[in-house]
Amino acid sequence: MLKVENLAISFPVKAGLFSKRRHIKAVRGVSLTIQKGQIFGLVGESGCGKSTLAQAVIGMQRPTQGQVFFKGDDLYALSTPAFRAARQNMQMVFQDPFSALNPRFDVQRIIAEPMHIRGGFSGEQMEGRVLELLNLVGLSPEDRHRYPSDFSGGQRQRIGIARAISLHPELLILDEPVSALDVSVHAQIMNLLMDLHEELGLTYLFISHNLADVKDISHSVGVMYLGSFMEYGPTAQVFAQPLHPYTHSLLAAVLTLDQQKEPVITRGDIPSPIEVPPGCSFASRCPLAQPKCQVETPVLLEYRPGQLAACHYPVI
Amino acid sequence: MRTTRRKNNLLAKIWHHPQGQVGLILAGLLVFAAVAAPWITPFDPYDVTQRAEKGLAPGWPHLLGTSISTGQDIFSMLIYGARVSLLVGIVTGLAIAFLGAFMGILAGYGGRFWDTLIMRLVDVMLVIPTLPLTIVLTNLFGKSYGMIIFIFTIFGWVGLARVIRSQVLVLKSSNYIKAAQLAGASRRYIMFRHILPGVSNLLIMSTALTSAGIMVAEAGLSFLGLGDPTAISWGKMLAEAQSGGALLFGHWWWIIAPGIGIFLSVFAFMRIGLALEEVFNPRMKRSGMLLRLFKSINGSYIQEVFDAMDDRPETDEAGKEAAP
Repeated sequence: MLKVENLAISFPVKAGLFSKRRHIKAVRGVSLTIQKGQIFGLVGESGCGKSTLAQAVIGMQRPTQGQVFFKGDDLYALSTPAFRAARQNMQMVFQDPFSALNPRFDVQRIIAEPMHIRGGFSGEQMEGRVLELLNLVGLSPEDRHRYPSDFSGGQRQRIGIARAISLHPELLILDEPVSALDVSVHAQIMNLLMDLHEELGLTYLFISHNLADVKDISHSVGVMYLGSFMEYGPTAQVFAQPLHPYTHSLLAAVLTLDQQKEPVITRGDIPSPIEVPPGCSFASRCPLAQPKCQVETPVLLEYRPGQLAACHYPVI
Repeated sequence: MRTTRRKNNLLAKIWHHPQGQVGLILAGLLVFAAVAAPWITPFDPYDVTQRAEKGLAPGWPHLLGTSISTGQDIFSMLIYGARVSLLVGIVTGLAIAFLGAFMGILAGYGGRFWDTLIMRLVDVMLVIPTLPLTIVLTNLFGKSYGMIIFIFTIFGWVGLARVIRSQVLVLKSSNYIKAAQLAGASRRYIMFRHILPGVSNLLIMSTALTSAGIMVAEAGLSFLGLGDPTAISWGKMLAEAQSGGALLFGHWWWIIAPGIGIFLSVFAFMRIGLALEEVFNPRMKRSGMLLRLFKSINGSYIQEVFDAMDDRPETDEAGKEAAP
């Protein structure tokens, strides 16, 4: 369904008139594959390049290097009409449910907008589809004449999801769809997403900084740090037996009721994405770092079947 | 039902706003006075042949007396003056809204080339001293209100274009526009369905506020004798009162009358603008921001006219505040 190959994205940074032009390296050589019907979880701290990667996948951020293949076609090599057609097959649910809906449009118009843009639907067809979608995402038919300001964050997110699936897309990019919601609403939306996945046979790219969500929903997972994957593999395996020290510290940071567990505290800050240090990007904060880590950049290697890590000294 | 209430027209909303109501009533009266002037004025304000009636004090039938040198009926002149003020104010306000919206959207959504071009043009326009230029242009091409509207528009769109551009930049990065792009929306679709409606509030509001500002500026230019010499306007009435010796003879009503006219028309449109601002943005803090917007739209112009009118040395304060 989706294949990303060696993707790199950097942004030029404004510098002084005479100083050298510098670049923020937001994504550095990421490759991933998502099969049809699968849910791929993308985790990482804020600022690690998750959203930039998503932007590239949906064709909104031309990568500096590498390719995005959607159903076998190189997205950025397609002609404009083919590109548009391909893009209609992937839709996105945004993190902030408040800025995702135009405050001047009523719900009917918001949800029907993609149909309106594609064209070829009669007014009745659109209305029927909107009712169907409202039902699907758990809103009532009367809601279609109300405005975004009348809804809570969770309800808005439902509207956003309804809009995203209105054109029967095959791939849904969920960019932290529940991060901005209350805990109780959070669980409802997660359930809704899982139900939709099952009912409609969708493929998800699920982005989150919440490990629990990723664990619940995804089949495979990629752990991102400073623009590249630290670890990549089947969710169950990565969570049960993480290879990379970074994954370890992430998992250890998840709050549990287990009093016995000593939290592993990661010290220091994330290095600047403008001047990425040589060697392993996590070396400056890694509790297991060796001299080699400061010099040589580790590559993703398969340490267990399907489970890859970019580490010289993985925890096995 | 909510929908019907949302969609109901803007006039009703302004009407239900305490400040807006005052503005609407006043503006309505002024428009009526301007349109019906030939029928409601008791005398012909252009009649300068009433030698026997010169310099009368307010009374009957000359409600506000007559001018000292020519015996024109001041009340009738006052009503006729509304025509020039409203016409110049409203037409310029609309023209500025159109030009400002066009330039602002082009700069914000037309790509880097247009953005750079228009913003540099804005920078240049902002530093051109408009009053000397107005004097030159009106003397070259004839003193008419068409010319004044043209000049006000050419220099007035600048501030609005900046405001619109920044609003477009905010809208452009919003997620609902991204969602529309994902669904395959063309640039045209996004421009007309999302961006233009997104700045329409700003446009409507600025039209009301700009009109108010232009009315003051117009009075200033007419006072300086740069308006149409054959038309009757409040600014020109003030100039005539000054040259005709109103102060010397203590004919205060001759000065107060056009002053009230100018005040009422500006007040009415400011009220409407303020009401619109609050209708569109109920949570807005009312302090300062509006004044700044108002000044940034046409402040430099008004300031210049005022500075030319009295001999005060130019205070830098207003200029500083106007700068965003």
